[in-house]
Amino acid sequence: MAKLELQVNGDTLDVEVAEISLLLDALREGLGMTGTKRGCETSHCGACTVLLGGVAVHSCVVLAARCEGKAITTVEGLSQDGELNDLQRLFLKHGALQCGYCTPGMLMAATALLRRNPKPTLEEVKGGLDGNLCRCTGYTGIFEAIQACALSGK
Amino acid sequence: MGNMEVKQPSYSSIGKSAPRIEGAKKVSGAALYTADHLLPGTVWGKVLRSPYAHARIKRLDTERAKAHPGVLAVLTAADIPAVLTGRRLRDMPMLARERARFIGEKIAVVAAADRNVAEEAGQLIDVDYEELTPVFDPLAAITEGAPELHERLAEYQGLPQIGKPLKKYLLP
Repeated sequence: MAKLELQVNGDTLDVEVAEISLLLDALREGLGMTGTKRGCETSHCGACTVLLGGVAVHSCVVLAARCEGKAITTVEGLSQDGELNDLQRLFLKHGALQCGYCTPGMLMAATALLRRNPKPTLEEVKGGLDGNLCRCTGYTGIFEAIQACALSGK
Repeated sequence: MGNMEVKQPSYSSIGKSAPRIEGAKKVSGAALYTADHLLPGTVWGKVLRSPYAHARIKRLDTERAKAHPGVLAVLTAADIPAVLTGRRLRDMPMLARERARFIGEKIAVVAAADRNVAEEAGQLIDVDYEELTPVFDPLAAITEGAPELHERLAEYQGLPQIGKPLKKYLLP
């Protein structure tokens, strides 16, 4: 077992996990933060997407031990004081979710996209979500929500 | 006739936007799905699966897996009743018995208190397969001489009642 100190959503958290634990395992089972989802465990679906140092990564293929000293942002970190942020509100407004399982991953990928490209074209939005699959919505609502967020200036 | 103003009825739902009740929970990560309920004492399972579409299981030895620290149980077909499952036609054992009939068929299952231990133990199960000729096409499958996948097919529950012996349906 390894004792790790992880920076998650601005907090310094201590977690004890197996040395070979993935970041996904450390977040979900180690810290009880189940907002990040386990979809495929093979880096194909993106349900496990979190930000590591501001960059969207698939936490199912990142070793937890490698994340010490880096800022980790999860879906739980998007709300401010219990209030949904603009992106989250627009996801609801534009029907960007049904079952919601891909949603945390989509939100994190979208957050990373808008940080590096505040005014993406539709093609750039699609490219930014290249690592995220959705089986319910057909993606249109997700693209609309992200574009609406970009238009409103985040 | 005079002016008749039609009074529009007011509805509580029709014509109104209906926000998703659970929407806020889903976008904030607070919504709990089945796998998000982590109860104390949760046991993790890992399944060993056949890499072959058709193979005889010549040897299946779980002793090394059972001895792995943290393993609670390792089960094979020998440990469970010989029940066949299926939706209508009951043709699939829960754990492969003597033969694997598709890539991914469950051969053995490991239970451990830790997911990594279950995964490691799965790799300690010793299996020897003898690859058999697979068949993937239904017309090929009913041609005389095709590999026989189910030796005891006539005993299976859920077969369609077709009134003729199965052999008569084989293509020459």
